[in-house]
Amino acid sequence: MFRTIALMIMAVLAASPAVAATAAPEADQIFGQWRASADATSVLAYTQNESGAQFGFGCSDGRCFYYLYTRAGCVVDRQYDLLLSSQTAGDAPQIHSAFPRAVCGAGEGDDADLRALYFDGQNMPAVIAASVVAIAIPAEDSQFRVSKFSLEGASAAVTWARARYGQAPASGDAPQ
Amino acid sequence: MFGALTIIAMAAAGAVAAPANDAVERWRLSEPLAAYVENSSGEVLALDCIGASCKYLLALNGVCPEGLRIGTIVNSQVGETVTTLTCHTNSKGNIMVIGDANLGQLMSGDKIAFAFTHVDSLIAVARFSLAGANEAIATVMANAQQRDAAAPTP
Repeated sequence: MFRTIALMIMAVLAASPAVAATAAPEADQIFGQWRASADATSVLAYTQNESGAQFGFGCSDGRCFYYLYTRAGCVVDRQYDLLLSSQTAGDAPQIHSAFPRAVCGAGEGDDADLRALYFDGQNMPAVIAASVVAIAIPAEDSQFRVSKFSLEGASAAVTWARARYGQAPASGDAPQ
Repeated sequence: MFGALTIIAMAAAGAVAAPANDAVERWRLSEPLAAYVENSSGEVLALDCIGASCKYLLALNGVCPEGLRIGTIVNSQVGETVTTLTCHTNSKGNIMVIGDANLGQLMSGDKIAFAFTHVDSLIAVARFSLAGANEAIATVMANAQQRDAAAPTP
């Protein structure tokens, strides 16, 4: 499962944002700050922040999951409790939070150095139906590493990916 | 309700007699049944056994509406856990009761940190020294056990 998604993440990382925006494969879809792509066996919807970290959603081998890639990496097979905190825009912003338990996966072969955290989508529709999300990852030294991502287009991108993969949309995945 | 409110108020006011270097970043016994540490931001982590049971408490900067429950991840060098913080307020300030009674298991290493949802920054982190924590916690727990053992049975 991770092999396919790892290849797609690597492809995204290899392309600069400017290149990705102008030379994206025909299958890519752009939803605000999110983009989505698909091949014969998997789908991926993601955004990338200025630090090069990625937050996204993917489906492969019959499973769908959210993932987080950061340059700091993680310890393979270790489970991490994450805090996701998102906020809606507007005059009366609302905050949603989730505490998914993620597992660190590694790529294979040429992608063996790739590390990413994977977690299921429980409570995620409400979290991604916002404008920005911050994700805290516990680090080995009792610190937390916090990454922020735009959620503009996230719900629409995830809905597109689910539909492309043939999975019914989760409650709250309606396009923004 | 919580004896630690007094402890925290005293710590914030600098009323707890201590050398300047020990006033922050080190666990202190404020009385036989309570211990606390204050970080450089003026936030306090305390163990309070003054009431019927021992509780870990946080006093953070900012508003904490009575009864509000928020989730938090606690992280130290020996592991992490997810638990809840419940806000209580009175005239002396506000505190958060930490929901995990086994928090003591994470009290090893140099530091312990709490990450929680925050209105302004989405996520805020409060970090505390564990220097002297084991000794202070063991003393308070032993004192609480002695008190409970001496209490008349109903």
